[in-house]
Amino acid sequence: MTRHLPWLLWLLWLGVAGWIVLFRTPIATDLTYFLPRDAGALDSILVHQMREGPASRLLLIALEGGDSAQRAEASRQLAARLRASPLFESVLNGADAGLLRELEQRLWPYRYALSPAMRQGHFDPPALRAALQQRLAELASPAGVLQKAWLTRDPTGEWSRLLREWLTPEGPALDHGVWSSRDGHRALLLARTRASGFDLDGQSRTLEAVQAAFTQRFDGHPPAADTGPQDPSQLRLVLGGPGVLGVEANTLITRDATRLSIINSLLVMVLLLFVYRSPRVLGLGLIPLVTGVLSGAAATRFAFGGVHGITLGFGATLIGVAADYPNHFFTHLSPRETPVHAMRRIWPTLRLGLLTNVAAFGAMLFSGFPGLTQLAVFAGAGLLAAGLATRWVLPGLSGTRMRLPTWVEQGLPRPRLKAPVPTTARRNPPVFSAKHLFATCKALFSPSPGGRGAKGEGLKNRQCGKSALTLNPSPFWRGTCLDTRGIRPGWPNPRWLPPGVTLALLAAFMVSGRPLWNDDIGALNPAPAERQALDASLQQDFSATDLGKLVVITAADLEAALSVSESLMPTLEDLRRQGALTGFDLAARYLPSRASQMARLAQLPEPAVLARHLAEARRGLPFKADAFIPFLEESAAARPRGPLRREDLAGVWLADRVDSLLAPLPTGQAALVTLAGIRDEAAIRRALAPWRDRGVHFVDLKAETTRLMHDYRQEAIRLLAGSLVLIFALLALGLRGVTPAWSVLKPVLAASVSTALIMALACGGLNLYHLVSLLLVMGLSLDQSLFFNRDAADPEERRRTLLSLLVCSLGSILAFGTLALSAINILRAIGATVALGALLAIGFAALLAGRDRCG
Amino acid sequence: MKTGRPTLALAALLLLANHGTLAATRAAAPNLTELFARLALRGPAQVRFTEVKRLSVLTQPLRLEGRLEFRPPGYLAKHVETPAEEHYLIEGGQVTVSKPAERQHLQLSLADYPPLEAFAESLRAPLAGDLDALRRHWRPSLGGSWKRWLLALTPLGPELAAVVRGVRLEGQEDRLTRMTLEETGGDTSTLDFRPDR
Repeated sequence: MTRHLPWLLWLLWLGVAGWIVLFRTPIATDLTYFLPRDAGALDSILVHQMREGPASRLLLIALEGGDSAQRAEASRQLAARLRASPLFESVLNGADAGLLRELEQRLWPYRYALSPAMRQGHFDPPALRAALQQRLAELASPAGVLQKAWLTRDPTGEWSRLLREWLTPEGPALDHGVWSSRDGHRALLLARTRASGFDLDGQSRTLEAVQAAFTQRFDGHPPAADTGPQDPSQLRLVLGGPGVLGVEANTLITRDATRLSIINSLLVMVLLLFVYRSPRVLGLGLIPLVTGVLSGAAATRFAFGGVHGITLGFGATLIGVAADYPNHFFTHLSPRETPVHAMRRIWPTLRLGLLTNVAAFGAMLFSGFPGLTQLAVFAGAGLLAAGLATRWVLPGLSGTRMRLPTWVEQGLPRPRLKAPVPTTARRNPPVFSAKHLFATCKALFSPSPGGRGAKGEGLKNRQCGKSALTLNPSPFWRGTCLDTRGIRPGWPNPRWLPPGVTLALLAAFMVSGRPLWNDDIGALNPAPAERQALDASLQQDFSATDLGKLVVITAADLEAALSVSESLMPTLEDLRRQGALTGFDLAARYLPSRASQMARLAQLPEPAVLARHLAEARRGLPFKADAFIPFLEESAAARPRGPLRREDLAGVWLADRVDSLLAPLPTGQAALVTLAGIRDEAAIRRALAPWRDRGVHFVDLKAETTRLMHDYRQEAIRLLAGSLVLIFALLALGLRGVTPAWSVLKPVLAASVSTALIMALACGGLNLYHLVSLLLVMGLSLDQSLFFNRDAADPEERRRTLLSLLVCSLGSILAFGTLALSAINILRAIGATVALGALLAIGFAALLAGRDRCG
Repeated sequence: MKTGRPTLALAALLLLANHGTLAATRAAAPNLTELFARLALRGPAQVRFTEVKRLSVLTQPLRLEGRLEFRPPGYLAKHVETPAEEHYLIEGGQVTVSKPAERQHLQLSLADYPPLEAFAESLRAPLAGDLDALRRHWRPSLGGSWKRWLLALTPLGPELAAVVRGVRLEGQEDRLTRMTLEETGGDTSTLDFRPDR
């Protein structure tokens, strides 16, 4: 029963974990999960901006094809449909007349609190007279029929003044009443989505809605005649904006990753089938991997309440280290012993490798980025589970004997190594029987206080091998050294090659002067180049606000933020007049501070006084005496009504604009000023410099994100260094000595550094993906190096080890090599780094190992 | 029956006379299609206008004078000369308003202001002889004779009916002589046209 216990437990665990993961785990796609958890005020605004700021929720829609009248009509219909959808906060296309009515209903009564013209003397007879004369002139014009409705209630024209302030004066050119690009080939619409730019699910729902609205714009009648996709008379929909790029990138990556995963899985399966010639082995080999991924996901679910999509992807990649474990096991199977014993034999080395890998990934647990912590938990827990499954489940399921091809059972055949073959004794199985060996090893490996589990088992290996197998230890031992060392007999000692290569690369790198780190967040952008160009041209057409630079005003509360914004407005106006920028937008334009609203209301004279002034102003003008009674009544009601508050705006499209220009802070409130058409950044910075101590900052989002990436990278390096120390300590403990630990670590370091240098030279700097891949390379090469240095006296052992390492490396190179062929820069970076790293790792480990073992 | 013959003759005469009057009347009354066909034939027009606006808020009417220019099919321009120089140009669905004195130049799209569009059509469509375009916004009814006809337009659509009570166009033969706009608030605006000398 106890024999079956391990794999029964394993099945149970798989079942539970599988159920939890498949049915109870929400998968998040919020990309800001990979941004820091905490930060100063400016950083949290940065994060807020990237998450939900006005920049992240813009959707640029362009209609191409047809003639301008068709485009204008389509633009109106599309806008009408999209406005009706709850997925959009606002849709603007230049023809905004319908929105005015809604605005009027809500904000008309507050016009005297909001209008900036309410200053001293605004209601004195001369000013009133001038206003009345203007109204008279408007009455004469045919368009005056629209403004006549306001005449008797608002003779000073506050409402139309406010409208002129609010409705975007700067925007694209008008053609047939809707926005169109400069060259006139596109009709433009600007939509603001409710879903933040980083909410990929929400964004893709929004995009589908736009597509559906576009194809249905003929109200059920399909477009006339299928005239082919290139027919210029057919209208085409073009989309741009951060949300669009995010969704498209996601689709591209998923599709490419799936395709390539299938290809490389097939390739690796073919390789393994070729080596093992047994589908059963293949199936068993999947056990640790599947267990690892499921366990990692379940652990993450327990620790975080859900798994992030990126964690799943990266984590599964990192757990790929566990794909090597069954390979080590199968290649060390010998016909002379049961699989269970074979496992016990290699377990110490495997365990050390497992622990060091977990240490490497676990270092990320201390990161300040929630995404990295999650990755650490996923990879660490997954690897542990995979290792345990390999140790306990795999041997049990392998039965008493595995039918494996000869080259697996005996290791690589001699001729392939091109090394001299001293005697035939090594080729044939030893003289004594398998039973003898079995009994001796069993005696040594049976559970006893000092024996089992001690890290010194490596020593026992040697004794067992020696006493069981050899007749004449020394020549075999020496011969064994030649096996691996003398791969090319007659050549100078190739041991200098790894450090030599590394140093050469270092020199080349220094000379080239290329940067080591690429902190540009744009380099992480997976969108293809022409897609980015299209997006840029759309943004040009809109000459929309400069999404990368804005002014941030931090204050203790909303009122303070608004009043600082108001005092800043004249400075910004000056900058606009000077031409440093073409426009700006801020919340205080729509929602002035309470203080300034009360001051404006205070300008309204008493009703009796106002009536007297009005009568005086009216003299000589053909207005009837009682014409302006509505005005007197409404202005009398204005002061008791009080100022406009944020709550009063609810439901009007202006409310969304105001909200997008305000950002809550943990310690107060921030108001944002978006800038359009920045022509002279230096002048803007100079003008804003004296406002610094009042909480006004000019923020360059791109520079800030680069700084963020830089900090992130520094932290990653610190963690990596820490984990290296931990790994060294583990190795020293496990191998009982600093020298063996160092000799194991040498090829790993050499391979990692060389890979890093090559990738830095080739890609103009290492970025995030390279760093994560290097972690994987380190994990893979640690395993290989450990096995290469494993204290095994039996030459057959060493041959098997060589085979297992070859199989593992080939598998990694194949798997990640296919990724390197992807069109997407992320997958290419990961694939190239790991494939190259695996190649260098096995090369360096082979070259550097072995000599220390020889006498 | 000595009295019978003169009665018969009188009756016959009366009948003949009536018939003749009827025929004359039929010949003198235009129908919509005929009228618009004739108006269409007129082609481009340049007339002087005098506009009188009677507004409920004003104690006396506003008087404007200027020139009206029409080029088929869709170019309509109103050049106001007194009291202040203003130009209103309607072409291709766009309205351009310019007031040189205030250096104001505004562009609106008619599609955004349906009442404005309807109002513009009420003048442009008859000048161009485009009955279909007129019928899109107004319900026309024609009365009078060729010498003096009256085209009464009632608004279609609630949005228009909320602003305008009706438009009356008066003319002689194939010429438009007067246009009266009645707004729902009671304000009226009358334009009198006379040929440009």
